[in-house]
Amino acid sequence: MRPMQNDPHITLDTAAMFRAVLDTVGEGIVTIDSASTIVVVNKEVQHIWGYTQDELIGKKIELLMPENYRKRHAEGLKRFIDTGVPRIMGTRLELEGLRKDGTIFPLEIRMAETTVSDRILFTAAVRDVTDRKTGEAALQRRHHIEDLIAAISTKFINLPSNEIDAGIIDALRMIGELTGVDRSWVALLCDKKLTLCFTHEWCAEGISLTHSDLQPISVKEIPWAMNQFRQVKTIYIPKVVDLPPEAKTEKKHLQAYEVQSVIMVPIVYRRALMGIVSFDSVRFEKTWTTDDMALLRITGEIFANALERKETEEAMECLMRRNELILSSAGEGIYGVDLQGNTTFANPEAARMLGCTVEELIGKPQHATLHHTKPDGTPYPREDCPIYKAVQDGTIHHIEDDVFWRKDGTNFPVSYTSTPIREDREIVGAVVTFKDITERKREQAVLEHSISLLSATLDSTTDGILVADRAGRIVNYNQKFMDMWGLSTVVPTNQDHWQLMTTVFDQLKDPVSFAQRLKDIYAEPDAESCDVIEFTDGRVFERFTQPQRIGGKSVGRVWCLRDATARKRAEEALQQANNELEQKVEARTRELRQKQAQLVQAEKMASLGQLVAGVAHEINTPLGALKSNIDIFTRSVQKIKELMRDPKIPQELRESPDITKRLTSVETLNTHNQTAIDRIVMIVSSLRKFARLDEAELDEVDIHEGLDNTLILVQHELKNRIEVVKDYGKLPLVKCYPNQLNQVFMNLLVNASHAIESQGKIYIHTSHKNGTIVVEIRDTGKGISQKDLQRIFDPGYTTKGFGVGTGLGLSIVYQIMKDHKGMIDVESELGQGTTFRIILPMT
Amino acid sequence: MTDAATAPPTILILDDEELVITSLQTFLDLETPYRTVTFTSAKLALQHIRDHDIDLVISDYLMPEMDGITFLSQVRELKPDIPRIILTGYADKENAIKAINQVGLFQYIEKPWENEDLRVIVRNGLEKMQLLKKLQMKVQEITQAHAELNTLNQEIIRAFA
Repeated sequence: MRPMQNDPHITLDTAAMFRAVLDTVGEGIVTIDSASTIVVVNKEVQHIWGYTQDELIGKKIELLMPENYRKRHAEGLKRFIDTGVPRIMGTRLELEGLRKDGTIFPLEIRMAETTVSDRILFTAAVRDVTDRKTGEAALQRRHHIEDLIAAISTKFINLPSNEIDAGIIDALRMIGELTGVDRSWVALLCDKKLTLCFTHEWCAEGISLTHSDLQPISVKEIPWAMNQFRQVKTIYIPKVVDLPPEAKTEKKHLQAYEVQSVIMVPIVYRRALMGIVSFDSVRFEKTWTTDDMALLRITGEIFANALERKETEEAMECLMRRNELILSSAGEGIYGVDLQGNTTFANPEAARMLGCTVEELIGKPQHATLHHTKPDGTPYPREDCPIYKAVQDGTIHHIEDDVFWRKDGTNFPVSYTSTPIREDREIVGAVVTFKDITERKREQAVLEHSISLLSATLDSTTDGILVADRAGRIVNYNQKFMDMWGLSTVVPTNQDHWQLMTTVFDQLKDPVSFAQRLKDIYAEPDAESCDVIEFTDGRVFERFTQPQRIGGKSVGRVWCLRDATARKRAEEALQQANNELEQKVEARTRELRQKQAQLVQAEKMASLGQLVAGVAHEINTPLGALKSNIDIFTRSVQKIKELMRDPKIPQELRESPDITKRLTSVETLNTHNQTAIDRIVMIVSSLRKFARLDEAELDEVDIHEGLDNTLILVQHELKNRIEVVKDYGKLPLVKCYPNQLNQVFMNLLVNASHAIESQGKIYIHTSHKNGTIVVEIRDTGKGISQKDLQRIFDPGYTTKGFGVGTGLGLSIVYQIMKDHKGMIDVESELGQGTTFRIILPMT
Repeated sequence: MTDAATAPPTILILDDEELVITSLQTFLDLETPYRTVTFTSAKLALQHIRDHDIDLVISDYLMPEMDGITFLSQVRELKPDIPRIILTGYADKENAIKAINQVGLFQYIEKPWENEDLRVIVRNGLEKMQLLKKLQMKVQEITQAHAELNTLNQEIIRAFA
């Protein structure tokens, strides 16, 4: 502008061009004089302030300034005029302007002074920087937000879990204040995600309605909102009144709290909806910038992380508390050891077992405290301690049988496990768990005793024993079993014992039935059985088996083999001896029975003899009288006939045919009487002679007389159907028991007559040669079968029907012949007849 | 008895059975000259023997009241000279023979008997009886003569002493 004033060639055209330039400049140009009166303005000033040029020319510049700048301007202008020292010339200042409409706006101003015609003029180029300022504010706000987020995030990271709730409320406040909302709150899904519970809330001052006492809302009531939350969508409702009909429940709830605008952000952790964070505007309808919305979303994430951390930490704490509880209540003693071997912690049970307090253990070298001496009393070098080894080699050491020492110097048996503790792969110590095994050792001792007893029993028993489980695997066996089975090698347990059994198949007499028997037994797990196994080499085993039971349940099977060879042989020998004895007894019995039969027979004969004697006597009396009388009759008839020849008797009487005839008849009949009585007398005589009771001792006997007497007695058997043919040779007298011999004849003759069913003959042949008498009695009867022939001399053997024969006859015959040192033999042919031959020695 | 030549000998028969008695009596009456008396009771028979002269006694062996041996031994006590015959069945033959020796029987007759045998036995018995009587008389005479001689001898010895 200075050249304008100095150039005389400036024309009006120049002034016009100046004006045009002035008006096209993008800045507002205001020129004032030293009295602050506006002398020039361009069009841009009109845009900026809203005044026309006319309204401004001649007016004081203060018109365009807010009140607080006017005094400052006046002071600065005066100072410049007085001193000539400009304060603000040439520099850009940011000030504020006052528009015609009364609004204040930021402006940037640059000023310059000119002197025209001795008048000092001040020109200012002004730019409305409202836009620029707004952008700056937004940027700044964004910085705020970022700072806030960073602050909140950092805060939550360092916040202990028990302060997280307070932290959330604080964050709600900060965000609420920043975003200018009236209320911000958090609701979390609970009750298996079925309800929304209001957990955290902040309200701006003056907002009285709070959610803190609100009942949980069922998620079913708000499907519209829940649906979007589940899709991790932020719900932005600029105007609650405009909510769609499907969100009527949501609308009702929001309006109940006078909410006009709201942003609700889902809190999602690992894709699972945890709850929502909400920012309500109550006092007016509010719009949010995208930055705000981003902030709110991030807030949701932060909350999600914080809440999750809270939950995790609470769970962890719970776990820790539980661990602690376990540690203190465990039946096992537990203590920790650090790298130096000092006890770091111990549970009460450990202290109790060691007879001290937990405090007394902690910080002390554990080895020296409780593990200093071996069970045998020798010192336990620390280097050998497995508890430290766990620390050194990083592996778990488990010791079944050791001792720990109590504070009072006593010890107790323990089993313990030392497990290295690692932190970030570095071994930092070990935890030792131990158990007092006094009771277990006692039980073990009892068990060992039982087992050793069992084992000794197994080894000392003469039986071979094999135990198999249900699957047939070998559980146990004794050496004896292997010896008996002929197996020299050691058979591993767990092997299928079926194989073992089959190894002897080729040694068995009957392997097929043995195998079948085994299968049968396996088919019945509860079966007990006993069998005899015979080997081809003559050995005999008894095999017992019974199931092994635990509590009534079959868990396996015990096989027991007993070598019964010796016993079997003894039994066989015994059996043989028995058989022989039985045979002897049988023979003796037969002999005795024959003797008995003979005795019975003798008794019978004696009785018969007595009977015969009695009968003979009784008969003989009347017989005597009869015989005598008949004789008298004969004599009398004879006498009468003599008397009748007396000539003194008249002839007609003498020769009367009546008398003669009668006398002749009496004579004839009397002759018959004589014959009859003689026969009776002979029978009775034969009877008593047969019985020969008076000749029971050895006697010289005429065999033929015995035969004849017997024939007389069996005459009734023979009658007319059987013809007896006698062929008697010349026999000397024989020394014998006549009554017994007669008994033999009687039996043979009766049998012969029985053998002849109708007509037939009996041949009796006697002879003697070489000092023996032979009597043959042959019949033409039905004969005897070969089978019967072998047994006819056995006592009690009969082919006659019950009640017909006693079955003693021939056995008695046999015995009598034996007693006479004689013999009897028999020949027979069925249908042809039988011949009995008795041979008697003559001496 | 005193007059054997004139009076027939009397035979006493004892049997519990009339059957036997009748047979024996009939035979003896018809076929012999002897007189018979019969009894079925041993007591009555003994009584009769005591009171009468009997020349021979025949008794059965088996009787209910008293057996024949006992009876005949009592007969011997009463009148030892009477010949005694016993009638036996087969069964008691041995005992009978023993008894014959014990009580001194004359003979036994076995049932059933032959009448002819009976006749012979009875006759022999009676003859034996008579012979014995004669013998006794002779012995008596001899004994008497011997006594007289003995007395005489004594007197002679005394006279010459």
